[in-house]
Amino acid sequence: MRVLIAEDSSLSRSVLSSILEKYDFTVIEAVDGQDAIEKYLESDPDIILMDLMMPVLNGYDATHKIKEMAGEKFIPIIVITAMSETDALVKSVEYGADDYLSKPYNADAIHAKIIALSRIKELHENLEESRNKVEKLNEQTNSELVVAEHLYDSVLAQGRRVLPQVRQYMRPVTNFNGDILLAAHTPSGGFIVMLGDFTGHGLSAAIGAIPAAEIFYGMTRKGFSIGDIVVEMNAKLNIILPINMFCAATIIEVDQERTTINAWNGSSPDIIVTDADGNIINRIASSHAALGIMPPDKFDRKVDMLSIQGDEHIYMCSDGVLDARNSDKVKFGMDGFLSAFTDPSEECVGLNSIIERLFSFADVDEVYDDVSLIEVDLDKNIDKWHVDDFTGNNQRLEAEWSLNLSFDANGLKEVNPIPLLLNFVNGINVINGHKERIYTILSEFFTNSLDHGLLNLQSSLKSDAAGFQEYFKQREERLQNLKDGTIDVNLSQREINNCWCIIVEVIDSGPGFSAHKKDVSLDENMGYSGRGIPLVTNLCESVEYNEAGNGVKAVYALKKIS
Amino acid sequence: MTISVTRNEDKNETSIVINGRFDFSMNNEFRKILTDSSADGGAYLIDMGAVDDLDSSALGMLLLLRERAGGDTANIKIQRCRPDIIEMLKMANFQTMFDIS
Repeated sequence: MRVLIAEDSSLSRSVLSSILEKYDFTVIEAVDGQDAIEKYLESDPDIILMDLMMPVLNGYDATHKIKEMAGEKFIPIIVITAMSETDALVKSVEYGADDYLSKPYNADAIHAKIIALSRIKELHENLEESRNKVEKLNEQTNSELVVAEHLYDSVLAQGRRVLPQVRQYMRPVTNFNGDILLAAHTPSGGFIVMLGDFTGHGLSAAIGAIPAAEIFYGMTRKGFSIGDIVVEMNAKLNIILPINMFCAATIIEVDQERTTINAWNGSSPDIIVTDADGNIINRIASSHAALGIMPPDKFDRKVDMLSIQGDEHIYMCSDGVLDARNSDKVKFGMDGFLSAFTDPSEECVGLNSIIERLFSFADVDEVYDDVSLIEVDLDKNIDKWHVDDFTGNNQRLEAEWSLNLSFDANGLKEVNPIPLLLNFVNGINVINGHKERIYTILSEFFTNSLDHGLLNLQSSLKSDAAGFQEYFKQREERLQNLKDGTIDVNLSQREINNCWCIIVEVIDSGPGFSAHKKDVSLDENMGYSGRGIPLVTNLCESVEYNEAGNGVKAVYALKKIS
Repeated sequence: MTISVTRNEDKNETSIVINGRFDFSMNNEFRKILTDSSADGGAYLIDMGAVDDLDSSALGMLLLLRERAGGDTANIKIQRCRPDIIEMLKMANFQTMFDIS
């Protein structure tokens, strides 16, 4: 250990030196305050003994200067005073000294003080080292976070271009959100919105977000239903996420005509549906485990269905909203959330009202979780859906062609043929805008053939909300028990009266059903059962049914769309 | 926030008592229970009587324990839950995976 002695009296210096050398310390000598500073810089001692009264620069100022130069580094300075100089002692501590020695010198006392201070110095150095390590680690983590954030953002960027009817408020706890919002149009002009809340926050929470977003956008674009989407996401997350991580999610699907909401709520707060006046008319509670928990064979894809008018709003939130607390640690909870609807403030409504209510209640320091709120306005006039969103080849193929597809009972049970049909339609080189219409015709015919032709379901069931649910329950059961039956789809292009037309023909093996009768009235086919055949009739040049009532043929002209 | 564990070898039963807010801060203690317990850990009794709140990492820990204790064949009883805790467990559909009371 190297000790610097700053002392102007040569006698005192040599006394101190000999004591220190006896303990095997290396001694560096300085003759005044200024000299002490220079020797400190030159020889980097471990500890300094400093006399106070010295020429050129006194001990106080030298102490102050050295401490200043050492900065974060700890250099112990022991000042040398006479026993009686209490004031000097106080002053030297103010100038940065760490301890004092009084004259006359006691060898053991000097040694003990130096050892004690060098221990503190060592402790200080260890601390500094760990702090540097932590800082470096932190820096590394941050730079990795930036990379991950970029990845995450580029995948979720599609969600940023959210639909105009979807308003969001998202407040992450860390710079990285564990909540994700995904939203996209379906090929038939409806839309799907999903709010996901991954376990934890930050990077670990975002790991699952990337595959989830890819599945969401890929499948939505191809026309899969939310049931299909949650099945796929659950299977993927079940594989990639550790056991203790999962994604609580709410996902809703609304059709273009705004007649139905399909919803799946897994482990999230209730989905709230309000009417035009802002009154709560429905709550869809969680009835499933979060995505990623259940193995595929145990997963429950059952979707809740609601019929709607088209003037409602839907609200979805992450549990961070309900978990937010006030300074008394009381949670905002479902009651707080609902109060924004049942007891709305005068200034704001809907989403703003919830945000206002939440933050006037909660103490920001008590918000531990990502807070996400979604509001969906079902007014279809807000939705500026452009067929351009599904761009394809605009080159038109002017040639005759024909495609035939046949689905048997097993095939119908196992695959949802609608996305398959959509792929065909997407493959047809027709001008954008036509594809969606052809798709609507195809899926309408196909659904009728399956539901009424093969499964013998009664449309009249769908006359009210309860029947509506019953209808889909029966559909599921009958489809699973379907033994035989086929549906043939024939899609072709031909020139009729100098106009290229797509001919859609769907024939089932059933006995024929009433929806295929020409005299079906418009009123009868609207309401809960959807836009149905009247809409298709409007789109087509002609719609014809066969005698038996189990086949339908429509001619759709590829005219310019106004 | 504490966890205490008692093991009854005769009954092949592990009792876990959790106190306070059941959240990520208990992660290390909980993982220790998992590594200490053998695959044939028998029954688990989790006393949640003193738990006043839980978060999604707590749910994750319970899922880890379930996996460790044999997945679908695990014998885990989550007991003495306050009504609001039961509600949270139900929202997560945990009643289908655990015996909750």
